[in-house]
Amino acid sequence: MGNITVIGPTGAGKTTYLAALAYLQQTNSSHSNKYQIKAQNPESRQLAEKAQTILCQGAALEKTDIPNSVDDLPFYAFGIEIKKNVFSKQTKIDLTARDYPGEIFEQLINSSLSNSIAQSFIEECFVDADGCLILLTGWEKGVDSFYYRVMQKFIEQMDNRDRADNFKLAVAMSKCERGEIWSGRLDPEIDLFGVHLPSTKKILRERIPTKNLKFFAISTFGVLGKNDPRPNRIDTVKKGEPESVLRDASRWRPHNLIEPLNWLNKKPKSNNNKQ
Amino acid sequence: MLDFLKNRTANGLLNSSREPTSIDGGDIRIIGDKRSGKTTYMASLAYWPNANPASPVHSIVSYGDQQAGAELINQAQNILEQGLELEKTNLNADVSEVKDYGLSIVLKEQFSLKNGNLRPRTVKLNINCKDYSGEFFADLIYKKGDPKLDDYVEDCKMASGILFLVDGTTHRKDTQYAKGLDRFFQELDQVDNSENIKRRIAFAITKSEQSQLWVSRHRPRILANRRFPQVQQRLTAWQTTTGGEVDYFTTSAFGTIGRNSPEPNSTKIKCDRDGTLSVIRKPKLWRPFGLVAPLYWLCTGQRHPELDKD
Repeated sequence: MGNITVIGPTGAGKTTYLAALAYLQQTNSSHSNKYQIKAQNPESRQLAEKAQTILCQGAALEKTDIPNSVDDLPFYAFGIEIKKNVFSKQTKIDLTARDYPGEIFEQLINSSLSNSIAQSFIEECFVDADGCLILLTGWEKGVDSFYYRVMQKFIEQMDNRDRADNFKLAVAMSKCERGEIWSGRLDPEIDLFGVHLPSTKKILRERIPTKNLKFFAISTFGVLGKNDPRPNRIDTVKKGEPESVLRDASRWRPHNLIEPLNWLNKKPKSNNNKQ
Repeated sequence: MLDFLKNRTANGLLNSSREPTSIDGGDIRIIGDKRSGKTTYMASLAYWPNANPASPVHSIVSYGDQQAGAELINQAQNILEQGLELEKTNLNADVSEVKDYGLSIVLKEQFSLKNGNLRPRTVKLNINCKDYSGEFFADLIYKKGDPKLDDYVEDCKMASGILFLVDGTTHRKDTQYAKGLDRFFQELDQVDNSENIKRRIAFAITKSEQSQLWVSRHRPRILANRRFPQVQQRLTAWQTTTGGEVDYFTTSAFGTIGRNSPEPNSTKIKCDRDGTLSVIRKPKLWRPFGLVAPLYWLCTGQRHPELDKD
């Protein structure tokens, strides 16, 4: 596998998602039975340490600020081994991911993008990356039109760089432990994106080849248990910004962390039809 | 099959084949922009005896200019044992002062079906490399008519193989490299090639221990296409018009630590548009990657699968 970029609006949980990935191996969560994940560079190990602070000590992650240069954004490297089961053979994914500040995603619809630092970030997004994990978090009324406009611009940028047909997009609704959307996690394309973000889903389906697009539901915090679907999360406010921390670290069961990466890792089938 | 081998042994063929088959690599020139890692590349090659014993490379020894060879070993010790940052190559040196390193690379025995005989073959590559000063490539664009630059270019014209090293993290300089290549190819085109010698260019992406490059180390052509599309376009055009050969490689002088979860064996000092500057992290675990593969290809025109392995 190559590189992926993790993008999404501010507060979508991008850094928390990557931190959870880095930390997963050190826990006895349900994921560790199916996957073996290793942080493969100092940056990802530092992230794992931060994750421990969030998950075990209930501290919140700092917001990712826009650095002076795109070179200052770290690459997090992971080795993910998907264990063998009756349906599939053992797979190893070597992955590097870059965590983009949310403002970059939001500035996509800013007409001054070409003059801003955001342009260099977007350029970098398509260099040597096989695909992108887009984390969206809003499902309230009005958010759909914002995401629609951002996606429209993002697809334009893809096209400008000749990546419209060879760049995979895993589009995920994050924080799916929320009671209102937890039940939609099983078929996210229909029950989450189709219901709450129909315009966003439509433009993606129209413009991105079928083989290069898939919708996911992700929950980094998870719920308290199979028979206890309450979010394993407590919402707090830190410096005026909403933050979330784990409610019960000992019952941490993240949902679908690896699946989007596994899908991004697979080579698309040769058919090139758009839906 | 066993009988066949025994018969060959009885005929003395196996024994005679233990003499290394020498392949004269001819003159190879290493070009690259500043901080592309040319000297570190050469120093790492020269220091090979302490590298991974499982490698298909048996030995690399320097020959020719003993002073240049000793200096190279000294630099290798500084970079790879002491973890020091390399001093920039002297830019004021004229072409006669430029170090001319001779390296003799011996590969371990491998079976080769040559002339219908299955026999183990030890391959020895004799290579002369010149280490140009770091600014050479950028100067191609901005210093037209500079006598030192002209000397360097003239010297490159004599080479049968060009090893073009590019720091993989300098992808934002793709356009600049492509412009430099245009100029370089114009110069090469002026060489009288009445003997119709096929020139080879190995495009090698260096510093591949960096995580974002390491994941693509086994697909160098794709990596080059994604990171340096304009350079690749120029190389392809050159190949078509001149009948020369181009191939793509990834190399790492520092390499990685760990087999199952490889990590860069380097500590980053700085990273910007001009690339990544780093020093070795754990000298005792030094295991370079892909250094000999482009040289073997430049000498033989064939890829050696073992040299492309981790």
